[in-house]
Order: sequence, then C-alpha cells, then structure tokens
Amino acid sequence: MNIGKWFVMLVAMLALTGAVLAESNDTNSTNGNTTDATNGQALAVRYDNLQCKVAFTNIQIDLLNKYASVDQTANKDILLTDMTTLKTYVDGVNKDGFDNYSVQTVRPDLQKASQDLTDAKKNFKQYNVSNESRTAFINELNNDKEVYSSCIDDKEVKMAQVMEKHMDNWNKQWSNVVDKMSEKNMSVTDMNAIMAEITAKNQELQALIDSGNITSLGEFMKAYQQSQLHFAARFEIARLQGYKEKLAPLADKYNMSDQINEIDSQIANAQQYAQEGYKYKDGEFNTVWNDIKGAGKDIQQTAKDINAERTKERQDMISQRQQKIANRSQQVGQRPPMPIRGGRGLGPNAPRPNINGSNNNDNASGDQ
Amino acid sequence: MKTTTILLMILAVGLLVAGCSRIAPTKILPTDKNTTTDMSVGADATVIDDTTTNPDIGTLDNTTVSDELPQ
Repeated sequence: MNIGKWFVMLVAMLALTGAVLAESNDTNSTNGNTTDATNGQALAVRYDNLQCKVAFTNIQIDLLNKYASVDQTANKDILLTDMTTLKTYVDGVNKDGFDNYSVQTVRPDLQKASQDLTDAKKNFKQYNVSNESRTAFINELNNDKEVYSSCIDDKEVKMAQVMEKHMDNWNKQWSNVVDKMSEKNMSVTDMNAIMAEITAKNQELQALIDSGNITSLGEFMKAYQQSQLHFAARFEIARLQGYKEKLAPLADKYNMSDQINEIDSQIANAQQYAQEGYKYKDGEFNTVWNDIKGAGKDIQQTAKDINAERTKERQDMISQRQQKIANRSQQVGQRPPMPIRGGRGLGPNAPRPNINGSNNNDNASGDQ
Repeated sequence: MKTTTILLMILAVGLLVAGCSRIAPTKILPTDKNTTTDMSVGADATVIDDTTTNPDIGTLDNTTVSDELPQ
C-alpha cells in the first residue's frame, strides 16, 4: 500500500472518531443549565457599572490634582486594585464572591474616595485656584458627568436585557418540567400561571427598554428583582404540590399520612413568605429555600417508601398467584394428562407430572 | 495479512471504542428506573438544585459618587 492510501485511511478514521465524539459533546451541552450563562453576563454588567463609577471618581481625582494640586492618588490606586480583584470574580463567574467583595471592599473604598472628593470641592477656595483654572475644572467636570451618566444608563439597559433573557431561560427550563409532569397527569395549572406572569413581565420590560425611559426602567427592575425571587420559590412550591397531590392517595393507602402532613407543613412555611410584593427580611430567603428543599427531599423519600410498599404488595400477589397455580397443578396432577394439539412437551413421550405436581424432568424449572 | 486488512481492523476498533464511550453514560450505566419510577409518580425528579436556590442575578451597585462642582 502506498503512502497516499495510508494517509486517506488515517484521516477517515480520525474524522469518524471525531464526529462521534463531537455528537456526544453536543448532547452534553444541551443538558447544561442555561441560567449559568446569564449569571455570568449579569456579573459582567455589574462590574462595568462599578467601573463607570470608579472611572468617574478617578477622573475627578486627576482633575483635582491638575487644577488644585490636591493629591488623592492613594484613593485612586486602592480603587484600581479593588477593580482588578473584582474582575477575578467576574471571570470565575463567582457571584457570591463578587457580592461579598463588592459590598465589603469596593463600596466602602468608593464611598471614602467620593467623600474625600466632596470635601475637597466644598473647600475649593482654600487651594487658591485662579478663576480661569476653576472654570476649566468645571467645564471638564461637566463633560465627564455626561460621559458618566451615559455610561450608567447603558448599564441599566444592559442589566435589563440580561434579566429578560434570564427569566426567559427559566421559562424554557420550567416548560420542560411542566411537560413531564403533564405527561404523568400531575397538576401544572399554578406553574403555567407563573410562567405566564413572567412572560407578561418580560413584555413590559422590553417595552421600557425600547422607550429609553431609564428612570422608569430602573424602578421596574427593582420591583422585578424582588418578584424574581418569589417566582422561583412559587414555581418550586407549585411543583412540589403537584407531586404531593399525586402521592397523597397512595400515602394514605399505605398509612404514610404523617409524611404528607410534614410536607404540607414545610410547603406552608415557605408559602407564607413567597408572596408577590413581599420583601424578604433577614434570613427569610434561606428559610423559604430550606423548607422547599426539605419538602423536596421528603417527597422523594415518601415516593421511595410507597414504591417499597408497592413492590412488597406485588411480590405478595405473585406469591399468592404462584401458590394458586401450584394448587391447581396438584389438582391437575391427579387427573390423566390432557393432550394439547400443537403444544410442546405433552406428547405421548413427554414426562408426566407426579402426584405432587412437580415434573419428572430434571431440567424443568417448576414454573407452570 | 495485508496492510489494508490491518488498517480496517484498526478503524473498526477505533469506531467501536468511540461508539461505546458515547453511549456509555446514558445507555449502559444503571439508573434507578427499575427501582423507583415504575409507579409513574415521578417524585424522584424533584431535585432542587443550587441554581434554583440561587435564583437572582444580583443588582447594579447603587453607591452615589461625588459629582458636585467645586465651590
């Protein structure tokens, strides 16, 4: 075989193997959680929003140094370092890390730098700055304010777009859950209603984005943020209720009503906080989700317990049936065998059952 | 044995390995289908994962920065 044929064979083998593996990867990717992507996008927008504030603050520090020889560059350096660290949480899609660092470090540092600037600008006369320099400072600052304002507005719109996508992804994921539960005749009415609410909210959000009314958009987003947490809890509660309603009659049959009562109690605890318009107080968010998770685990356990009972019940039925067959065989064994036309095993030379119903053939299984 | 035959055997083994690696996770590994879901209640699907329990994507920082003009 020449080199050309070797090469063609090698390429064909690699191509076929690659195609098979690529298809496998595609299958895996469709199972991924689509909300992960929007979480990453939201962190990037939140970082950019802080970057607008840090950049505007640092510009003013430079202006103060330029026109009044006031040195606040230490604040600037701290903020730059903070933002470098904060970026690592964005890159790692680490929301908890981002939240903690931005609240505990970036925000206090930004507030301090901002306060130092305000103090310096309030007492600007003490720096003996000429009127020309003061006017130049004001002109530059006004220009920078416009850039800053535009930067912040842009992030408000981008965050709204991410939110819309995020909620849309939820609806898509939930739609699969609803379809599966519908197939098993579970109640999905409440879940469908929640998904319809999200669709309506998203339409309202899109209209505000299109309008360019940033103030209204900001107010809507604040309310939507709170609703968002309730949507998730309400959907999970509705989902758990669907499962529980399906299990309850079986649980009652197998004397497991106490387990259903415990599930009911956890669902009710979560439900009292997961109400549209209610603002979570300290710890209530965790309470709601602990109850939801607890009810989910209890439902799983109850389903397993019911399955065990049903399996036992089925085995008992099989045993009873086998016993009936054995008894019948015993009765049949006392009569002469009936020839079966076209049947196997009971011809003139077939082994005859003895009086105990067992077969004389050593290879017989005993199942009739 | 001819070189072509050897290559064909290598190709067949390669495809077999690749095919098996693809179907293994979903087709070969045992599931609890036979033990818990044959009653069509499907309650074992109620896994509440961490993504669901951390539903919010966060908010924009609301810190007000200094923007006053010099006095």
